[in-house]
Amino acid sequence: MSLIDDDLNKLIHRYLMGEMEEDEIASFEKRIESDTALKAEVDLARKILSSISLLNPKLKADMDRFYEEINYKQTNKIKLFMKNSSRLWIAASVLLFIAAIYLFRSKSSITGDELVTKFYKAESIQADKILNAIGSPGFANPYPSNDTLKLAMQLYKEGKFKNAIPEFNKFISTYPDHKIANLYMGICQFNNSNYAEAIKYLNPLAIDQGFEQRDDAIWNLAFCYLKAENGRKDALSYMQKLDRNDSPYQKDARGVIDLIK
Amino acid sequence: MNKFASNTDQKLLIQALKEEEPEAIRYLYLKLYSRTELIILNNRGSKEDVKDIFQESIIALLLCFRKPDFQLSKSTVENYFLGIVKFKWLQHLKSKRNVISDDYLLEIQSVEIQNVDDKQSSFISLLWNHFGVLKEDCKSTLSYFFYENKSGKEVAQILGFTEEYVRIKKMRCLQYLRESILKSKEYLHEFN
Repeated sequence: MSLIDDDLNKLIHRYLMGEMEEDEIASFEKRIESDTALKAEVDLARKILSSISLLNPKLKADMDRFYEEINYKQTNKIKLFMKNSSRLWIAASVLLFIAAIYLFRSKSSITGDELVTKFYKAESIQADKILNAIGSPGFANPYPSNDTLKLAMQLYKEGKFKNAIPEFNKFISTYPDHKIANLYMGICQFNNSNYAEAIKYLNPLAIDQGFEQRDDAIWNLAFCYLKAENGRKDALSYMQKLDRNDSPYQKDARGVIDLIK
Repeated sequence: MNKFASNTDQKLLIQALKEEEPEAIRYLYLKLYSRTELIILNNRGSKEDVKDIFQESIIALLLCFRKPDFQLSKSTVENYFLGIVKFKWLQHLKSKRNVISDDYLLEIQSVEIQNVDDKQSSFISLLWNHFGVLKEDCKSTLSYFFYENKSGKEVAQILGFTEEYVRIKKMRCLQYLRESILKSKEYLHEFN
């Protein structure tokens, strides 16, 4: 859309290019004075003509190119930043994922071996007492083979579980219902990685409510199940039995429960 | 690497700018565009404002160097240029009646900004932008006539038309340019 008509444009052009006669100039200048829109057009046209000679089109093209160069560099910086940010995000996500796995593992996927390392310790307090009592006049032992039991308990105390097993075996073959012998035989089997054998000895003691070392039997039995495949549910059930105020294993049992529940 | 980037000799840069060497202009873009951004973006400006003010400031600087008696007394070209940027941005804010902090005014006033024809450089920048959107045949016709100062006969020979045709072409192209500028917000806002 043209702001002025073609004839008027020609007049403006002729006026500014010095192509008008004197009387025509005077007449046109009168018209300019009375027409503000025309005056604005002429003023702008004059301004353009006085400035356009200063316009170096090549320099403008160069400046546009330099601006693009700057813009490209900045965009690349942003892209690089975004790329690095993306990498950081990916790295952070991976770390979070690993941390989550670690937490998940430490909560519910911690292995039986890890639980044994963290919590398990073969019973020693009662073993000391028993060892001291065997052979002493006050030890209420209805069975005569105290030397074999003493040797077995001695080997147990020294952590020589493998060597203790045949000694306990000898004693139990003679006295199959000896609860203490069965308990420590079960503990030795567990520590010798014979979990099925250990369960066989410990299980009856764990349900024997009259057995004063029943908690020791349950504690070891629970670890047998923790080491066994698909035994975690049973292990949890045994650990929960030990989560009582009067159990010497309460604190550790709760620790295990927190990790496997 | 830009030859001005490691050269501390201002005379070399000034001479290059007087001759409007593209490499000198490029040096200013590379060295000072981000600083111009900081000045403008931190004072209510936009990315588009930065682009316009930077271009106007380059033109203002080149116009200064075109003056035979122009000399930088104390400032370096870079500082003088940033002074122009700040001065121009201040004028822009004033024209929009923006509230300007006293700190900013003091900073601007402490910069050497004499010899800067703000209106002319702004208008040339506006003219440049509108010239840029003309069709190529218009651009070349006007360039031959006004920047290269060729006669109608010479332009006709170069373009392969009659003299009368290029005369009308020149008139029409100037009309397009004028109409384009007249309709622009910048012109209405800053030059009316």
